[in-house]
Amino acid sequence: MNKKKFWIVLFILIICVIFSACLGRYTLSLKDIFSILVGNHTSEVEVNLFYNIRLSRTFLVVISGGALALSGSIFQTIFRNPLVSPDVLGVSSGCSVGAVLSIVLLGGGVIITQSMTFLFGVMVVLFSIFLSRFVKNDRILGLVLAGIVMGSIASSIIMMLKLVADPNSHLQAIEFWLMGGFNNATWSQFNIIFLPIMLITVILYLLRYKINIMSLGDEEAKSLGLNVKVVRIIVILLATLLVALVVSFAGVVSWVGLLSPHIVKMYSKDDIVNNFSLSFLTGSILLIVSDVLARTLFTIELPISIVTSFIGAIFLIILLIKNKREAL
Amino acid sequence: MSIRLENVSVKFSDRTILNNLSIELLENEITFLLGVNGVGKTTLIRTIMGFEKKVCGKIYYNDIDIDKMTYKERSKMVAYIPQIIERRSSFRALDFVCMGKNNDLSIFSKPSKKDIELAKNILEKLNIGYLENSYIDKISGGELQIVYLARTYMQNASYMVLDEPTASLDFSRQNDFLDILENFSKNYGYGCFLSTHNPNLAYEYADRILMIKNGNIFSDLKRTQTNYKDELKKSLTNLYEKEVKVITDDNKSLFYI
Repeated sequence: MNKKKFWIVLFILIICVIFSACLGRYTLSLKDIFSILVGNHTSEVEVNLFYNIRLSRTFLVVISGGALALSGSIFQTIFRNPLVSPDVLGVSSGCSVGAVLSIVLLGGGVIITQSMTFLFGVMVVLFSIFLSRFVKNDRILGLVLAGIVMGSIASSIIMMLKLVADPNSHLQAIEFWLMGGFNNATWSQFNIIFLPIMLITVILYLLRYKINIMSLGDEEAKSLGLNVKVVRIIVILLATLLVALVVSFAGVVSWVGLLSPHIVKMYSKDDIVNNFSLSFLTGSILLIVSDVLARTLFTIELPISIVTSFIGAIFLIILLIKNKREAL
Repeated sequence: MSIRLENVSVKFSDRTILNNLSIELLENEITFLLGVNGVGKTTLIRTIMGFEKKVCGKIYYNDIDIDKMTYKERSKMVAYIPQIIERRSSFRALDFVCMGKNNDLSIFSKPSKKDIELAKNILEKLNIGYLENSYIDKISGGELQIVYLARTYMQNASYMVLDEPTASLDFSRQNDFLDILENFSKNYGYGCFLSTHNPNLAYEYADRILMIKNGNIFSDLKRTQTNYKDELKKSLTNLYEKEVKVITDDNKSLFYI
């Protein structure tokens, strides 16, 4: 691993975290934050704001961005395709169905929505994997096709539910959920997803050499003694769980998983073994910047996917221009 | 280490590619495979590696049915060097070579310091130590082939299957690579099976030449047999369905049409 790059990126992330703690509808100065941290700040409200709102939100954004980016890097590596996103098996669409069902039929309470979201995301992915088995020769093509099929079914269900949803209350909740956001972040939410995300990240980290070998393609990987089928399913499930965990409380966060690996490649042309932590940190930075923009650009807070989609499009244009001679 | 195919058939939808084919590849021999385009050279190679679904027949590595072996067990016997067409991944050569150790590692472990030293050593021995930190998509095709040899060494197999290793190399590098391959095979005791379109390379380097036509091996020639060159000429004529002639000069022979 490139230690120097790691420390630089970590340093940038820390700066971003500090900015994220300062900025918002109510701005805290660096001096405020320092005095809050050493414990002699006078305003109880600001201390509360810092610890319970800003910090919980920032930490949630950091692990969410990292999880999405890592998932994206891993998907692009094992699918050997730079345009694959973690949604390729329909996890986000599945999650959306769960969330919309919960809003329309079950009242849309926080815990019930999160559980439904997670369950449906995982179910759709499992079903995609099951469907993919019917494409005999090309496993990867099978997975992509199955993902498209499941995604399409999911969006038709969502459209139907929107049609019957109460336009005064449910419809708005649905739309907000589909555009994502971290405005409801709390420490208790952080506590729920922190451990699973870290656990999966550690397992994926331990699997990084196998994931790397998968990127040689099925046959070469087999010839090196890798049980491709088993490793692929394990890795895909774990990487998908990361996304489902994030989406289940933040709603759909688009583009981060697709884009982060490309940003990493711009400054570190290396394999997943060496870029593993850089991928995570880069996603954190990308999402934290997006989140800060989402809550500071206008007087009302923007849903996160509006910002990430826009940044994503701009970055993709830069990448296209920069790499016009080489393929992505 | 020997490889044996018994009555193997492979079909793509309803086209028969390999038809009841049987061969035995012996240890420490360099065997070349010749055949016209689209006749199934790559399919045969992939079948030997266990990548193709066969309609019938059995494949044995050292008399063990490969259907009863795990990929790990197979990889300790036979190594594979695919045809280099595209290189999308950017690995450092050293990391790439260390991947050969995968068959000795459990699912969560990584190559040890000792493995990395070993990899450096073999790169030195193959005279490409300077490539250690280069990315494999930025080095020449000839260099990459040798990096592949180094990886094969790490894999600890005793047989190597190569799909047209000379196809992407220039005129002189083809000989360079086969010289290195020959030395590598003799020094470390590897059997080799490789396909090529160039009968002259086969004649120069092969201990044995197989030719494939109509889904089966139709010619099997050993360097040690009598009338090797004439038999080869006859078989080549048969293979390409054109009169193949040979000229000899300075103890070297050249086949041409």
